[in-house]
Amino acid sequence: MTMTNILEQVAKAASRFTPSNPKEYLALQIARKLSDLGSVRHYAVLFERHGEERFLNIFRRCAEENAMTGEHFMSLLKTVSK
Amino acid sequence: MKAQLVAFKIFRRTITAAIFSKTRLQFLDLQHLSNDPSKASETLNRFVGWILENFRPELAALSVEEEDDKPRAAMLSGLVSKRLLDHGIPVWKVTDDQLLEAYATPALTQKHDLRVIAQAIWPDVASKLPALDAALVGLYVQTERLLSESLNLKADV
Repeated sequence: MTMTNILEQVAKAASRFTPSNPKEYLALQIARKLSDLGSVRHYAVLFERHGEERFLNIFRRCAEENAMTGEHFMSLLKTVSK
Repeated sequence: MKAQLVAFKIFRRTITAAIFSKTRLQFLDLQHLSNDPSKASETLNRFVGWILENFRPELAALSVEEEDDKPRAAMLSGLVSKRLLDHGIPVWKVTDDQLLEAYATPALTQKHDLRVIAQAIWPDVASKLPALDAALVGLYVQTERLLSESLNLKADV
């Protein structure tokens, strides 16, 4: 294993998101289904603030509106939290 | 969503079970199995029967190994699957690769890391380490079902 490989693995592990409770796990799966895994930490924080019911409802609306993207999800979340 | 789910993970010498109500872990147990195949099958049947009688799950999740070098665990898993299906309980099979992919981003590469995550999610039962493998399977299935069923409902926001 080269030094570059080792450094890449260390960087990957440091940036890895792993859930520490079932809510964070659900947030991770929602981010995954919205192809927005890069923002998973943001989802976990917002999930804690807004709760499961609201998150699932917005996820559902994204599907109904045929817009399963993180951008649309966040935009709807912003609208309903006003 | 149907409330009760039982998740099983079977090893060569152990069967582990986790009971979930929605995404909440309700019960966790494990049973050691004899090296003798007929005794192991008997214990396994008794254990599964006890779980079915006491928790009356409506769905089961079963962790399945994809490796060919674990014939005994595969045989025992087959017995459990048959027993559940004979009771009219649908069985959702989950592979280790699906768990490695689901429980982190980027995906995990080592099964050992799954147990570290399980200990973080359920610290109160972290000492029941092998049984936590069944809990990971259960949470995976319950969350997939929750998301899939929520898509079939009408949005209310």
